[in-house]
Amino acid sequence: MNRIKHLFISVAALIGLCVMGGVAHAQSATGTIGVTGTVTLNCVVVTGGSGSAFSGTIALGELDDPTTGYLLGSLSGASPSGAEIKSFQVNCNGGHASIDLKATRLSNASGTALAGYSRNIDYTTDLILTKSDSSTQSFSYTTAPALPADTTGTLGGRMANAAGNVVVQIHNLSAENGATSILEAGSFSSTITVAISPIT
Amino acid sequence: MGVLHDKRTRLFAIAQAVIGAAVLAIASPAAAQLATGTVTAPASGTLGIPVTATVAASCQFNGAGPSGSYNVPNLNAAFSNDFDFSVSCSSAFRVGVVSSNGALVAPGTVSPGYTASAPYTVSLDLKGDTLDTGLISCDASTLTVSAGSPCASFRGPSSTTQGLRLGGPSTGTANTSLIRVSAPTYSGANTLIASSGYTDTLTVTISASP
Repeated sequence: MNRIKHLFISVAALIGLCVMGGVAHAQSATGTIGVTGTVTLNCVVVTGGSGSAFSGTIALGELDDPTTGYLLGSLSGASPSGAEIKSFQVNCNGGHASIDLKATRLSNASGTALAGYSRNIDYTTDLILTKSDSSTQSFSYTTAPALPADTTGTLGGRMANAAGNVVVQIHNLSAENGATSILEAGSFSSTITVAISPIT
Repeated sequence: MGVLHDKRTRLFAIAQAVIGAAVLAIASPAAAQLATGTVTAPASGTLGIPVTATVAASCQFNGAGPSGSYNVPNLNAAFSNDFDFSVSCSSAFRVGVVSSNGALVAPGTVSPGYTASAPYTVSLDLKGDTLDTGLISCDASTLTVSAGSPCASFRGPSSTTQGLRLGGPSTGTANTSLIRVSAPTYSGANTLIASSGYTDTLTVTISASP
C-alpha cells in the first residue's frame, strides 16, 4: 500500500511541477536617463532697474545755506539721512560677489573757481550690501581733485534675497575751497558707479 | 495474501499507465505519437488530470531603451528634451518612472531666499501597434519613491498594476514612445544658486500588464 501511495504522490508532484512551470511571470526591464543642468552666475535687478542695470538719483535739492551761500552744514555730517540714501534690490546667485565702486566730484562747471567760491564738492559714498545671513558689508569711496582708484573688494557671502539689499549713500560733503566758500550758482551733478559681479 | 498481492499488482500497473500518459501529454504536447499496448485490468476508472500552461508575456525595451542624458544649459530659461524609445511587448504593458531627486538639485548649502532645486516636468507618451496614450505629464517632485502625493499616472517602479498602461501590444521598433523633460522659464520666488552641478536621474521600468 505504501508503494502505491508513493506512486500517487509522485504523480501529483510531477503534475504540480509541470503546471507551475507554465505560470506567467511578468517580465520587466529598466532604463536610466540622466538630466543635468547649469545655472550661470548672474545678478538680476529686482527694484531700481531691470535686467542687469539699476539706477537712481540722489536729489539733494538746495545745497547752500540761503543765509550765507555756504554749503549746508547738514550735508557735511558723517551720518547721511533722507535724500542722501538710495536703496535697491539686486539678487545675485553666486556665493560671493566682487565689488567695484567709484564716483565723480559733485560739480557745476569745469575749471577753477574764483577765490572764496567753490564749484566742486567732494564727498564720500558708501555701498552697503546686506548678506543672506542679514549681516552687512560696506565699501566706501571718497572723491578728490584727483580721483582715486576705484574701491574694489569681495562680498564675503551670498547677497540677501531681500528688498533694500543694496544701499548707496553719501555723506561728508565738503566744498573744494572750504566750508566758508560760496557755492557758485548752477546745477551740481555727480555720478556714482557701482558694479556688483557674482562669483562662486 | 495471494488476493492482496494481485490487487497491489493491478493497482501498480494502473498507476504506471497514468504516469506514462501524464508524462507523454506534458513532455510532448504537440507531437502526437502512436503507441500501442494493452493494459488489462479487471477494474477500470477515469482519472481526470487537468494540464494547463501559460505563455509568459514578454516585455522589454528595444535597444538601449530610454537612456542617455541631457544637460540643460541654463536652468533659468525654458527647456525641453525628448528621449525616444521603443518597446517589444506581446501584451498590454505599463511603464513607470522614478525620479531620484524630484527636481534638478545642486549640492551645497542654501541661504534664505535662494534654492538649489530646479523644478521640472516629466512627460510620457507610449505608442503601441494600434494604441497611443498621448502625452501624460507629472511634476518630477511627484515621481520620487517617497513622494507624499505621488503622480498616479506613472510614478514607478512599474508592475502589473502601477505605471502608465498601454492596453495593447507593441511589437515594432517603429512605435516610438518618448519621455520628455521640460520646464518653463524659471519663476520661483527663490533665486536659483549658480552651479553647474544640478542633476537628477530618471529610472524607467516596463512591466507586462496583461
